[in-house]
Amino acid sequence: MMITLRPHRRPRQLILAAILVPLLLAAQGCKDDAYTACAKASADISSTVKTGIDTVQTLYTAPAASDIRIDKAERDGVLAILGNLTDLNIQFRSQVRALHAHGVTGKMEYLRVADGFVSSGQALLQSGALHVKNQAAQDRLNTIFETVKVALNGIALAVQNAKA
Amino acid sequence: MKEDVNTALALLNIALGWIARLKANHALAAEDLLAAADASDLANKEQIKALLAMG
Repeated sequence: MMITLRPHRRPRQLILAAILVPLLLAAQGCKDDAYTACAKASADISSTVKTGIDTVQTLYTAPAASDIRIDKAERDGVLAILGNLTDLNIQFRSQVRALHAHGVTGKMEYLRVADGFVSSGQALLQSGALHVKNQAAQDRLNTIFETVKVALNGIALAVQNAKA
Repeated sequence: MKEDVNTALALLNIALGWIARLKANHALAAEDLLAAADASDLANKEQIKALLAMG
């Protein structure tokens, strides 16, 4: 079936197109690009690490008789992991900024940098296999580290889903 | 017809302005997020240092 436009309809359609086409383009523009996706992911990791540090503080300053208290060595072990993760995150942002400064807009380069961060972060979490004496404290720390793992895995996913 | 085309062009111009502003805001959002993460990581490191100093 062939659609023909009546002459008096054309101006109205032209006006409609002038509004709709840019709006559709703008809607596409609302999807995160790889740079923004990396920035969001890095902020998420930082926020998750903050929760982890707060938890360590709570566990370490808990009353001595408490079943969630961790000792100094346990505290230092967890903080070392969280500190190293923070350093990796800072390094990740530095690489992301460098890519952006060089005008890189493609997903592949950001994905490569994100994969490097995720691999290093996962390796760090595995190397610091955590064992604390109190089971309740162990459970809380396990939850924190699982959250960090999920946030790390989310980085690559966020960049993959970013607009090209 | 000429007036309609002019109207369409004016609307297109306005819409393109919106897109330009959207793109600028988007870029700013990424910079803001990175700056917020910088500040957060700095605070994290300070908190770790303070916790370690507790002995």
